[in-house]
Amino acid sequence: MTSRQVALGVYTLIVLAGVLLQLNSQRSSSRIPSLGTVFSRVMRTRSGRIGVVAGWAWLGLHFFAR
Amino acid sequence: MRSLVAQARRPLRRLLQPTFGSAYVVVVGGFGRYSWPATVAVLCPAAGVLLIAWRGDLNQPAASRKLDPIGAIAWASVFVALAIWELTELLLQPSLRTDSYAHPTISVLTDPVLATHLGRSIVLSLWLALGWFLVQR
Repeated sequence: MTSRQVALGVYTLIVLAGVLLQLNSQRSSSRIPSLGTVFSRVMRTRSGRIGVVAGWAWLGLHFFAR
Repeated sequence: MRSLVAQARRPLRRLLQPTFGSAYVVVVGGFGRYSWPATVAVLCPAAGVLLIAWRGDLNQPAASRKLDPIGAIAWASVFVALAIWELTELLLQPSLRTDSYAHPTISVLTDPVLATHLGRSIVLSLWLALGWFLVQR
């Protein structure tokens, strides 16, 4: 197994973990909140909103801008 | 009368937003990556959403309960794991500014997609959709 395959495998596992959490959150008895609920909770305060939105803005700037 | 105007605005807004959004991603997707037009085109919505976030949410959120600690830790773990792995791949590159095939960062993995106009337009629409999702929180 090459280093690249290991790297891609780890990325895939992390994404799968997120997908599984989101699917789990849809169950009525689940203790796992949905990602939307997590963001809603974090963004209740101004600092939370700014932090999350700054992260989103950084994503756009990182991939497209100088 | 005011309620009639407000009611008329809703379908118009529903029509204009995706139309404007589509035009935006098609035009901005055509800009060269890391060019000044692309920079300005990304800065404008980013600044707008930051301003909205500073002033407060658009919609009054429903009173949200505290998150279950198990759930909070689970989600935090996913994001922390992603950040740590990305940092690991970055540090395993020959240098911070040299890409590595053996240790790809997310940027390196998305380079082939972002090399084309269509790819940039699709990723831009996903980025805008994420921003809209956040603004609705």
